[in-house]
Amino acid sequence: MDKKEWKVGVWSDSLQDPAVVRSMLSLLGKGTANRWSFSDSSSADLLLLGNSSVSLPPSQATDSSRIVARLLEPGESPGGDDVLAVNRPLRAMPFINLLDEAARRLHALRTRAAVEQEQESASLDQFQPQLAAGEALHVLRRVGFAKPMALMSADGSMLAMIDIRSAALASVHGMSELLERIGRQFQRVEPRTENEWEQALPQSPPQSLDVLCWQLGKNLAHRLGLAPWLQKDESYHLASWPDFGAIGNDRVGFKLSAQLTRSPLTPHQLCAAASVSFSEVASFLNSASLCGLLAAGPAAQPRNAPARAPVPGRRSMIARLRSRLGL
Amino acid sequence: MLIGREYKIIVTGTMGAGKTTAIGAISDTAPITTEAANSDQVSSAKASTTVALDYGEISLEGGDRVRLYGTPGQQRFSFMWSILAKGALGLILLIDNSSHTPLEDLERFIDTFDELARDSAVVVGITHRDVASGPTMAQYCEILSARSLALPIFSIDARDRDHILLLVDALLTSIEAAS
Repeated sequence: MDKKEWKVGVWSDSLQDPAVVRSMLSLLGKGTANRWSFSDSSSADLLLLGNSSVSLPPSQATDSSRIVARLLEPGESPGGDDVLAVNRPLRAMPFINLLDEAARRLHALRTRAAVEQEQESASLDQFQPQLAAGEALHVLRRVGFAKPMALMSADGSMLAMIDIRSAALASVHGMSELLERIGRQFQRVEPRTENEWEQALPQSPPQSLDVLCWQLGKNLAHRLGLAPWLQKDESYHLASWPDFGAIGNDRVGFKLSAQLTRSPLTPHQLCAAASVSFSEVASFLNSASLCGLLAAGPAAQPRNAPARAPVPGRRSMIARLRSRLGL
Repeated sequence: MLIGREYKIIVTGTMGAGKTTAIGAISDTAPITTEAANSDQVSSAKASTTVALDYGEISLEGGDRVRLYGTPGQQRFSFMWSILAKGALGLILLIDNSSHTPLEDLERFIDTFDELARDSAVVVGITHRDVASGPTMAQYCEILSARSLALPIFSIDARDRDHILLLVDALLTSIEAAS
Protein backbone atom coordinates (compact mmCIF):
# COMPACT_ATOMS: atom_id res chain seq x y z
CA MET A 1 0.00 0.00 0.00
CA ASP A 2 1.50 3.34 -1.04
CA LYS A 3 2.07 5.88 1.67
CA LYS A 4 -0.78 8.32 1.39
CA GLU A 5 -1.77 11.48 3.18
CA TRP A 6 -4.94 11.30 5.20
CA LYS A 7 -6.68 13.85 7.38
CA VAL A 8 -7.99 13.29 10.89
CA GLY A 9 -10.60 15.47 12.60
CA VAL A 10 -12.22 15.47 16.03
CA TRP A 11 -15.89 15.96 16.93
CA SER A 12 -16.19 16.24 20.70
CA ASP A 13 -17.73 18.35 23.40
CA SER A 14 -14.33 18.25 25.20
CA LEU A 15 -11.95 21.03 24.20
CA GLN A 16 -9.04 18.81 25.26
CA ASP A 17 -9.63 16.12 22.67
CA PRO A 18 -8.65 18.16 19.57
CA ALA A 19 -5.60 19.55 21.31
CA VAL A 20 -4.42 16.11 22.42
CA VAL A 21 -4.95 14.56 18.99
CA ARG A 22 -3.15 17.43 17.28
CA SER A 23 -0.11 17.10 19.52
CA MET A 24 -0.07 13.29 19.23
CA LEU A 25 -0.03 13.63 15.43
CA SER A 26 2.91 15.98 15.50
CA LEU A 27 4.86 13.64 17.78
CA LEU A 28 3.96 10.30 16.18
CA GLY A 29 3.27 11.13 12.58
CA LYS A 30 6.49 9.52 11.29
CA GLY A 31 5.78 6.30 13.16
CA THR A 32 2.69 5.53 11.14
CA ALA A 33 2.52 3.76 7.80
CA ASN A 34 0.89 6.85 6.29
CA ARG A 35 1.09 10.60 6.71
CA TRP A 36 -1.63 12.12 8.84
CA SER A 37 -2.53 15.75 9.31
CA PHE A 38 -5.12 17.42 11.51
CA SER A 39 -8.12 19.06 9.85
CA ASP A 40 -11.58 20.32 10.69
CA SER A 41 -14.24 17.65 10.97
CA SER A 42 -16.01 18.43 7.69
CA SER A 43 -12.98 17.52 5.53
CA ALA A 44 -11.53 14.70 7.63
CA ASP A 45 -11.03 11.22 6.21
CA LEU A 46 -11.00 9.80 9.75
CA LEU A 47 -13.31 11.40 12.29
CA LEU A 48 -12.73 10.82 15.99
CA LEU A 49 -15.99 11.07 17.95
CA GLY A 50 -15.31 12.29 21.47
CA ASN A 51 -18.64 11.38 23.05
CA SER A 52 -21.19 8.75 22.01
CA SER A 53 -24.02 11.16 22.70
CA VAL A 54 -22.59 13.81 20.40
CA SER A 55 -24.48 13.95 17.07
CA LEU A 56 -22.80 14.85 13.85
CA PRO A 57 -24.35 17.46 11.58
CA PRO A 58 -26.67 15.67 9.09
CA SER A 59 -24.41 16.46 6.09
CA GLN A 60 -21.47 14.77 7.79
CA ALA A 61 -23.48 11.91 9.27
CA THR A 62 -24.32 10.58 5.80
CA ASP A 63 -20.86 10.99 4.26
CA SER A 64 -19.87 7.47 3.26
CA SER A 65 -16.42 8.48 1.99
CA ARG A 66 -14.94 8.73 5.47
CA ILE A 67 -14.71 6.44 8.47
CA VAL A 68 -15.50 7.15 12.09
CA ALA A 69 -13.63 6.05 15.22
CA ARG A 70 -14.62 6.56 18.87
CA LEU A 71 -12.65 8.14 21.69
CA LEU A 72 -13.60 5.98 24.68
CA GLU A 73 -13.36 6.60 28.40
CA PRO A 74 -10.67 4.66 30.30
CA GLY A 75 -11.73 1.00 30.57
CA GLU A 76 -14.72 1.42 28.24
CA SER A 77 -15.05 -1.30 25.62
CA PRO A 78 -15.71 -0.47 21.96
CA GLY A 79 -18.88 -2.62 21.79
CA GLY A 80 -17.90 -4.79 18.80
CA ASP A 81 -14.87 -6.33 17.10
CA ASP A 82 -15.27 -4.23 14.00
CA VAL A 83 -15.71 -0.91 15.81
CA LEU A 84 -12.73 1.40 15.44
CA ALA A 85 -11.93 3.00 18.81
CA VAL A 86 -9.17 4.08 21.18
CA ASN A 87 -9.29 4.76 24.91
CA ARG A 88 -8.36 7.95 26.64
CA PRO A 89 -5.81 9.02 27.70
CA LEU A 90 -4.26 8.57 24.27
CA ARG A 91 -1.15 6.38 24.30
CA ALA A 92 1.37 6.15 21.46
CA MET A 93 0.98 2.52 20.30
CA PRO A 94 -2.83 2.27 20.49
CA PHE A 95 -3.05 5.59 18.65
CA ILE A 96 -0.58 4.48 15.95
CA ASN A 97 -2.47 1.18 15.57
CA LEU A 98 -5.73 3.09 15.22
CA LEU A 99 -4.29 5.32 12.49
CA ASP A 100 -2.79 2.36 10.60
CA GLU A 101 -6.10 0.41 10.74
CA ALA A 102 -7.99 3.53 9.71
CA ALA A 103 -5.66 4.00 6.74
CA ARG A 104 -6.16 0.36 5.70
CA ARG A 105 -9.94 0.75 5.78
CA LEU A 106 -9.82 4.08 3.95
CA HIS A 107 -7.66 2.57 1.23
CA ALA A 108 -10.16 -0.29 0.78
CA LEU A 109 -13.05 2.19 0.70
CA ARG A 110 -11.42 4.35 -1.95
CA THR A 111 -10.35 1.35 -4.03
CA ARG A 112 -13.92 0.00 -4.02
CA ALA A 113 -15.24 3.40 -5.09
CA ALA A 114 -12.65 3.58 -7.88
CA VAL A 115 -13.61 0.09 -9.12
CA GLU A 116 -17.29 1.02 -9.13
CA GLN A 117 -16.55 4.16 -11.09
CA GLU A 118 -14.49 2.16 -13.58
CA GLN A 119 -17.31 -0.35 -13.97
CA GLU A 120 -19.73 2.52 -14.50
CA SER A 121 -17.48 3.93 -17.23
CA ALA A 122 -17.10 0.49 -18.81
CA SER A 123 -20.84 -0.04 -18.87
CA LEU A 124 -21.28 3.42 -20.36
CA ASP A 125 -18.75 2.45 -23.05
CA GLN A 126 -20.81 -0.64 -23.71
CA PHE A 127 -23.97 1.41 -23.75
CA GLN A 128 -22.90 3.77 -26.55
CA PRO A 129 -23.03 1.09 -29.27
CA GLN A 130 -26.51 0.07 -28.06
CA LEU A 131 -27.65 3.69 -28.27
CA ALA A 132 -26.17 4.02 -31.75
CA ALA A 133 -27.95 0.82 -32.84
CA GLY A 134 -31.22 2.10 -31.39
CA GLU A 135 -30.90 5.43 -33.16
CA ALA A 136 -30.10 3.70 -36.45
CA LEU A 137 -33.10 1.38 -36.16
CA HIS A 138 -35.35 4.29 -35.24
CA VAL A 139 -34.32 6.22 -38.34
CA LEU A 140 -34.77 3.16 -40.57
CA ARG A 141 -38.29 2.62 -39.18
CA ARG A 142 -39.21 6.26 -39.60
CA VAL A 143 -38.21 6.42 -43.25
CA GLY A 144 -39.60 2.92 -43.88
CA PHE A 145 -36.36 1.86 -45.53
CA ALA A 146 -37.23 -0.73 -48.15
CA LYS A 147 -33.87 -2.45 -48.57
CA PRO A 148 -32.27 -5.12 -46.38
CA MET A 149 -29.66 -3.64 -44.05
CA ALA A 150 -26.58 -5.09 -42.35
CA LEU A 151 -25.70 -4.23 -38.75
CA MET A 152 -21.92 -3.82 -38.84
CA SER A 153 -19.37 -3.98 -36.05
CA ALA A 154 -16.37 -1.70 -35.63
CA ASP A 155 -14.05 -4.41 -37.00
CA GLY A 156 -16.02 -4.65 -40.23
CA SER A 157 -17.79 -7.93 -39.51
CA MET A 158 -21.56 -8.27 -39.96
CA LEU A 159 -23.53 -8.82 -36.76
CA ALA A 160 -26.89 -9.40 -38.43
CA MET A 161 -28.93 -8.60 -41.50
CA ILE A 162 -32.40 -7.13 -41.08
CA ASP A 163 -35.41 -6.49 -43.26
CA ILE A 164 -37.69 -3.79 -41.89
CA ARG A 165 -40.59 -4.66 -44.24
CA SER A 166 -40.94 -8.24 -43.02
CA ALA A 167 -39.64 -7.46 -39.48
CA ALA A 168 -37.17 -10.31 -39.95
CA LEU A 169 -33.61 -10.74 -38.81
CA ALA A 170 -30.91 -13.12 -40.01
CA SER A 171 -27.91 -13.73 -37.79
CA VAL A 172 -25.64 -16.65 -36.93
CA HIS A 173 -25.93 -15.50 -33.30
CA GLY A 174 -28.79 -16.27 -30.95
CA MET A 175 -30.72 -13.26 -29.67
CA SER A 176 -28.92 -12.96 -26.31
CA GLU A 177 -25.50 -13.17 -27.90
CA LEU A 178 -26.51 -10.76 -30.66
CA LEU A 179 -27.65 -8.17 -28.13
CA GLU A 180 -24.41 -8.56 -26.22
CA ARG A 181 -22.35 -8.16 -29.41
CA ILE A 182 -24.36 -5.10 -30.45
CA GLY A 183 -23.66 -3.64 -27.03
CA ARG A 184 -19.93 -4.11 -27.50
CA GLN A 185 -19.30 -3.79 -31.20
CA PHE A 186 -22.07 -2.09 -33.21
CA GLN A 187 -20.86 0.82 -35.32
CA ARG A 188 -23.04 1.39 -38.39
CA VAL A 189 -25.66 0.06 -40.80
CA GLU A 190 -24.99 -0.69 -44.47
CA PRO A 191 -27.49 -1.44 -47.25
CA ARG A 192 -27.56 -4.90 -48.77
CA THR A 193 -29.17 -6.31 -51.91
CA GLU A 194 -32.24 -8.54 -52.04
CA ASN A 195 -29.93 -11.28 -53.36
CA GLU A 196 -27.66 -11.03 -50.32
CA TRP A 197 -30.72 -11.17 -48.06
CA GLU A 198 -32.04 -14.31 -49.82
CA GLN A 199 -28.63 -15.94 -49.50
CA ALA A 200 -28.31 -15.08 -45.81
CA LEU A 201 -31.68 -16.56 -44.79
CA PRO A 202 -30.99 -20.30 -45.27
CA GLN A 203 -27.74 -20.02 -43.29
CA SER A 204 -29.34 -18.51 -40.21
CA PRO A 205 -32.52 -19.52 -38.39
CA PRO A 206 -35.13 -16.79 -38.94
CA GLN A 207 -35.62 -14.52 -35.99
CA SER A 208 -37.98 -11.68 -35.25
CA LEU A 209 -36.60 -8.17 -35.62
CA ASP A 210 -39.31 -7.04 -33.19
CA VAL A 211 -37.76 -9.19 -30.45
CA LEU A 212 -34.39 -7.45 -30.96
CA CYS A 213 -36.03 -4.03 -31.03
CA TRP A 214 -38.11 -4.75 -27.93
CA GLN A 215 -35.11 -5.80 -25.85
CA LEU A 216 -32.99 -2.93 -27.19
CA GLY A 217 -35.70 -0.48 -26.13
CA LYS A 218 -35.73 -1.95 -22.63
CA ASN A 219 -31.93 -1.75 -22.40
CA LEU A 220 -31.98 1.91 -23.45
CA ALA A 221 -34.63 2.67 -20.82
CA HIS A 222 -32.49 1.03 -18.15
CA ARG A 223 -29.70 3.57 -18.79
CA LEU A 224 -31.46 6.58 -20.27
CA GLY A 225 -35.13 6.41 -19.45
CA LEU A 226 -36.94 7.81 -22.47
CA ALA A 227 -34.94 7.41 -25.71
CA PRO A 228 -33.44 10.64 -27.11
CA TRP A 229 -35.86 10.67 -30.04
CA LEU A 230 -38.92 10.70 -27.74
CA GLN A 231 -40.19 13.74 -25.82
CA LYS A 232 -41.68 13.85 -22.33
CA ASP A 233 -44.20 16.50 -23.37
CA GLU A 234 -45.30 14.85 -26.61
CA SER A 235 -48.52 12.82 -26.94
CA TYR A 236 -48.12 9.45 -28.63
CA HIS A 237 -50.50 6.81 -29.88
CA LEU A 238 -49.93 3.21 -30.84
CA ALA A 239 -50.69 2.35 -34.47
CA SER A 240 -50.95 -1.39 -33.65
CA TRP A 241 -50.41 -3.65 -30.73
CA PRO A 242 -46.90 -5.10 -30.49
CA ASP A 243 -46.75 -8.77 -31.46
CA PHE A 244 -46.55 -10.21 -27.98
CA GLY A 245 -46.76 -13.67 -29.50
CA ALA A 246 -43.20 -13.15 -30.73
CA ILE A 247 -41.98 -10.81 -27.97
CA GLY A 248 -43.41 -12.76 -25.04
CA ASN A 249 -46.05 -12.20 -22.39
CA ASP A 250 -45.85 -8.70 -20.94
CA ARG A 251 -48.77 -7.74 -18.68
CA VAL A 252 -47.53 -4.16 -18.35
CA GLY A 253 -47.16 -4.03 -22.12
CA PHE A 254 -50.79 -5.19 -22.47
CA LYS A 255 -52.03 -2.43 -20.19
CA LEU A 256 -50.03 0.24 -21.96
CA SER A 257 -51.03 -1.03 -25.41
CA ALA A 258 -54.71 -1.05 -24.44
CA GLN A 259 -54.44 2.57 -23.29
CA LEU A 260 -52.31 3.93 -26.09
CA THR A 261 -54.37 2.38 -28.88
CA ARG A 262 -57.46 4.16 -27.55
CA SER A 263 -56.19 7.73 -27.23
CA PRO A 264 -52.96 9.73 -27.54
CA LEU A 265 -51.20 10.31 -24.22
CA THR A 266 -47.96 11.85 -22.99
CA PRO A 267 -45.62 9.52 -21.07
CA HIS A 268 -46.77 10.90 -17.72
CA GLN A 269 -50.44 10.68 -18.67
CA LEU A 270 -49.84 7.08 -19.66
CA CYS A 271 -48.27 6.38 -16.24
CA ALA A 272 -51.42 7.66 -14.57
CA ALA A 273 -53.88 5.99 -16.93
CA ALA A 274 -52.27 2.55 -16.61
CA SER A 275 -50.99 2.93 -13.03
CA VAL A 276 -47.43 1.96 -13.90
CA SER A 277 -44.07 3.59 -13.22
CA PHE A 278 -42.35 6.05 -15.55
CA SER A 279 -39.47 3.64 -16.08
CA GLU A 280 -41.93 0.99 -17.32
CA VAL A 281 -43.57 3.54 -19.62
CA ALA A 282 -40.17 4.64 -20.95
CA SER A 283 -39.20 1.02 -21.64
CA PHE A 284 -42.48 0.42 -23.47
CA LEU A 285 -42.33 3.60 -25.56
CA ASN A 286 -38.68 3.01 -26.51
CA SER A 287 -39.46 -0.54 -27.60
CA ALA A 288 -42.68 0.35 -29.42
CA SER A 289 -40.92 3.15 -31.32
CA LEU A 290 -38.12 0.81 -32.39
CA CYS A 291 -40.76 -1.65 -33.60
CA GLY A 292 -42.23 1.13 -35.72
CA LEU A 293 -45.55 1.13 -33.84
CA LEU A 294 -45.46 4.51 -32.15
CA ALA A 295 -46.64 7.76 -33.70
CA ALA A 296 -46.80 11.28 -32.33
CA GLY A 297 -50.15 12.99 -31.87
CA PRO A 298 -53.61 11.48 -32.32
CA ALA A 299 -54.46 8.77 -34.85
CA ALA A 300 -55.71 10.00 -38.24
CA GLN A 301 -59.10 8.39 -37.59
CA PRO A 302 -60.74 7.88 -34.20
CA ARG A 303 -60.37 4.21 -33.37
CA ASN A 304 -62.53 1.70 -31.54
CA ALA A 305 -65.65 2.73 -29.72
CA PRO A 306 -65.59 5.25 -26.87
CA ALA A 307 -65.34 3.77 -23.39
CA ARG A 308 -68.63 2.28 -22.28
CA ALA A 309 -70.21 2.33 -18.84
CA PRO A 310 -68.77 -0.35 -16.59
CA VAL A 311 -70.85 -3.52 -16.37
CA PRO A 312 -71.58 -4.42 -12.72
CA GLY A 313 -69.50 -7.36 -11.58
CA ARG A 314 -67.45 -7.40 -14.79
CA ARG A 315 -64.15 -6.47 -13.18
CA SER A 316 -64.62 -9.05 -10.45
CA MET A 317 -65.37 -11.72 -13.04
CA ILE A 318 -62.31 -10.80 -15.07
CA ALA A 319 -60.14 -10.96 -11.95
CA ARG A 320 -61.54 -14.39 -11.06
CA LEU A 321 -61.07 -15.66 -14.61
CA ARG A 322 -57.45 -14.50 -14.56
CA SER A 323 -56.92 -16.21 -11.26
CA ARG A 324 -58.56 -19.41 -12.51
CA LEU A 325 -56.30 -19.50 -15.58
CA GLY A 326 -53.20 -18.64 -13.57
CA LEU A 327 -52.68 -15.29 -15.31
CA MET B 1 -76.29 -26.32 -6.32
CA LEU B 2 -74.87 -22.82 -6.61
CA ILE B 3 -76.01 -21.22 -9.85
CA GLY B 4 -74.06 -18.14 -10.79
CA ARG B 5 -73.82 -15.89 -13.79
CA GLU B 6 -72.75 -17.18 -17.16
CA TYR B 7 -70.43 -15.54 -19.64
CA LYS B 8 -69.58 -16.48 -23.18
CA ILE B 9 -66.31 -16.35 -25.13
CA ILE B 10 -66.43 -17.27 -28.80
CA VAL B 11 -63.48 -18.88 -30.57
CA THR B 12 -63.81 -18.49 -34.30
CA GLY B 13 -61.71 -18.34 -37.42
CA THR B 14 -60.65 -20.21 -40.50
CA MET B 15 -60.77 -23.98 -40.84
CA GLY B 16 -57.58 -25.55 -39.57
CA ALA B 17 -56.49 -22.46 -37.62
CA GLY B 18 -56.59 -24.30 -34.29
CA LYS B 19 -59.92 -23.34 -32.70
CA THR B 20 -60.69 -26.79 -31.25
CA THR B 21 -57.15 -27.07 -29.93
CA ALA B 22 -57.38 -23.60 -28.37
CA ILE B 23 -60.58 -24.43 -26.47
CA GLY B 24 -59.03 -27.67 -25.27
CA ALA B 25 -56.06 -25.71 -23.92
CA ILE B 26 -58.10 -23.63 -21.47
CA SER B 27 -61.29 -25.56 -20.79
CA ASP B 28 -61.72 -27.07 -17.33
CA THR B 29 -63.15 -30.24 -18.80
CA ALA B 30 -62.32 -32.10 -21.96
CA PRO B 31 -64.07 -30.07 -24.62
CA ILE B 32 -67.05 -31.52 -26.45
CA THR B 33 -66.20 -31.53 -30.11
CA THR B 34 -68.48 -32.08 -33.08
CA GLU B 35 -66.28 -33.29 -35.89
CA ALA B 36 -66.83 -35.13 -39.12
CA ALA B 37 -64.65 -36.15 -42.04
CA ASN B 38 -63.50 -33.13 -43.94
CA SER B 39 -65.01 -33.17 -47.40
CA ASP B 40 -63.40 -29.85 -48.35
CA GLN B 41 -59.79 -30.87 -48.94
CA VAL B 42 -59.30 -27.84 -51.19
CA SER B 43 -59.71 -25.39 -48.31
CA SER B 44 -57.82 -27.53 -45.82
CA ALA B 45 -55.99 -30.84 -45.85
CA LYS B 46 -57.34 -31.75 -42.41
CA ALA B 47 -58.84 -35.20 -42.06
CA SER B 48 -61.71 -33.97 -39.92
CA THR B 49 -63.30 -30.63 -39.15
CA THR B 50 -65.84 -29.11 -36.75
CA VAL B 51 -69.35 -29.27 -38.15
CA ALA B 52 -71.40 -27.80 -35.35
CA LEU B 53 -69.90 -26.27 -32.24
CA ASP B 54 -67.02 -27.11 -29.97
CA TYR B 55 -67.79 -26.50 -26.34
CA GLY B 56 -65.73 -26.03 -23.23
CA GLU B 57 -66.19 -24.22 -19.96
CA ILE B 58 -64.29 -22.59 -17.14
CA SER B 59 -65.79 -22.57 -13.66
CA LEU B 60 -65.12 -19.53 -11.52
CA GLU B 61 -65.18 -18.97 -7.81
CA GLY B 62 -68.65 -17.95 -6.71
CA GLY B 63 -70.46 -20.26 -9.07
CA ASP B 64 -70.04 -18.16 -12.23
CA ARG B 65 -69.11 -19.92 -15.43
CA VAL B 66 -67.45 -18.91 -18.67
CA ARG B 67 -68.71 -20.94 -21.63
CA LEU B 68 -66.38 -21.37 -24.58
CA TYR B 69 -67.94 -21.87 -28.00
CA GLY B 70 -65.86 -22.82 -30.99
CA THR B 71 -67.59 -22.12 -34.26
CA PRO B 72 -67.06 -24.16 -37.41
CA GLY B 73 -64.70 -22.34 -39.73
CA GLN B 74 -66.29 -23.14 -43.05
CA GLN B 75 -68.18 -20.38 -44.78
CA ARG B 76 -71.39 -22.46 -45.01
CA PHE B 77 -71.68 -22.29 -41.24
CA SER B 78 -71.32 -18.51 -41.17
CA PHE B 79 -75.02 -18.07 -40.31
CA MET B 80 -74.13 -19.21 -36.77
CA TRP B 81 -71.43 -16.70 -36.16
CA SER B 82 -73.40 -13.53 -35.53
CA ILE B 83 -76.06 -15.46 -33.57
CA LEU B 84 -73.40 -16.78 -31.24
CA ALA B 85 -71.73 -13.39 -30.90
CA LYS B 86 -74.79 -11.81 -29.28
CA GLY B 87 -74.07 -11.19 -25.61
CA ALA B 88 -70.55 -12.55 -25.85
CA LEU B 89 -67.93 -11.26 -23.44
CA GLY B 90 -65.35 -11.41 -26.19
CA LEU B 91 -64.09 -13.20 -29.25
CA ILE B 92 -60.84 -14.99 -30.06
CA LEU B 93 -60.26 -15.00 -33.80
CA LEU B 94 -57.71 -17.43 -35.20
CA ILE B 95 -56.45 -17.04 -38.75
CA ASP B 96 -54.42 -19.74 -40.49
CA ASN B 97 -51.47 -18.02 -42.12
CA SER B 98 -50.92 -21.03 -44.39
CA SER B 99 -54.38 -20.84 -46.00
CA HIS B 100 -54.77 -19.56 -49.55
CA THR B 101 -56.41 -16.29 -48.54
CA PRO B 102 -55.45 -15.35 -44.98
CA LEU B 103 -55.83 -11.59 -45.45
CA GLU B 104 -59.27 -11.96 -47.01
CA ASP B 105 -60.20 -14.35 -44.19
CA LEU B 106 -59.28 -11.73 -41.61
CA GLU B 107 -61.32 -9.12 -43.45
CA ARG B 108 -64.33 -11.38 -43.62
CA PHE B 109 -64.33 -12.29 -39.94
CA ILE B 110 -63.63 -8.76 -38.72
CA ASP B 111 -66.52 -7.44 -40.80
CA THR B 112 -68.83 -10.18 -39.49
CA PHE B 113 -67.97 -9.42 -35.88
CA ASP B 114 -67.70 -5.67 -36.35
CA GLU B 115 -69.70 -4.78 -33.24
CA LEU B 116 -67.48 -6.82 -30.92
CA ALA B 117 -64.40 -5.45 -32.66
CA ARG B 118 -65.56 -1.85 -32.11
CA ASP B 119 -66.02 -2.67 -28.42
CA SER B 120 -62.37 -3.84 -28.24
CA ALA B 121 -63.63 -7.30 -27.36
CA VAL B 122 -61.71 -9.15 -30.08
CA VAL B 123 -58.19 -10.55 -30.09
CA VAL B 124 -56.59 -12.07 -33.19
CA GLY B 125 -54.13 -14.96 -33.31
CA ILE B 126 -52.27 -15.70 -36.53
CA THR B 127 -51.30 -19.38 -36.59
CA HIS B 128 -48.92 -21.42 -38.76
CA ARG B 129 -46.57 -18.50 -39.43
CA ASP B 130 -43.71 -20.94 -38.93
CA VAL B 131 -44.82 -23.19 -41.81
CA ALA B 132 -45.77 -20.60 -44.40
CA SER B 133 -44.07 -17.31 -45.25
CA GLY B 134 -47.50 -15.81 -45.90
CA PRO B 135 -48.38 -12.17 -45.28
CA THR B 136 -46.32 -10.20 -42.77
CA MET B 137 -47.81 -9.13 -39.44
CA ALA B 138 -47.71 -5.57 -40.77
CA GLN B 139 -50.05 -6.59 -43.60
CA TYR B 140 -52.52 -8.08 -41.13
CA CYS B 141 -52.32 -4.90 -39.03
CA GLU B 142 -53.02 -2.78 -42.11
CA ILE B 143 -56.37 -4.54 -42.54
CA LEU B 144 -57.34 -3.56 -39.01
CA SER B 145 -56.01 -0.01 -39.44
CA ALA B 146 -58.07 0.41 -42.62
CA ARG B 147 -61.13 -0.22 -40.45
CA SER B 148 -59.87 2.16 -37.75
CA LEU B 149 -59.33 -0.79 -35.44
CA ALA B 150 -56.31 -1.39 -33.22
CA LEU B 151 -56.90 -4.86 -31.80
CA PRO B 152 -54.37 -7.16 -30.20
CA ILE B 153 -52.98 -9.33 -33.03
CA PHE B 154 -50.26 -11.85 -32.26
CA SER B 155 -48.44 -14.63 -34.08
CA ILE B 156 -49.11 -17.80 -32.09
CA ASP B 157 -49.00 -21.57 -32.00
CA ALA B 158 -52.50 -22.79 -31.09
CA ARG B 159 -51.02 -25.99 -29.65
CA ASP B 160 -49.13 -23.95 -27.06
CA ARG B 161 -51.31 -23.33 -24.00
CA ASP B 162 -49.22 -20.30 -23.04
CA HIS B 163 -50.02 -18.70 -26.40
CA ILE B 164 -53.75 -19.25 -25.90
CA LEU B 165 -53.48 -17.76 -22.42
CA LEU B 166 -51.63 -14.81 -24.00
CA LEU B 167 -54.64 -14.20 -26.24
CA VAL B 168 -57.10 -14.48 -23.34
CA ASP B 169 -55.01 -12.13 -21.17
CA ALA B 170 -54.83 -9.54 -23.94
CA LEU B 171 -58.57 -9.88 -24.55
CA LEU B 172 -59.37 -9.30 -20.89
CA THR B 173 -56.97 -6.33 -20.69
CA SER B 174 -58.56 -4.84 -23.78
CA ILE B 175 -62.07 -5.26 -22.35
CA GLU B 176 -61.00 -3.66 -19.06
CA ALA B 177 -59.46 -0.67 -20.81
CA ALA B 178 -62.64 -0.13 -22.82
CA SER B 179 -64.85 0.13 -19.74
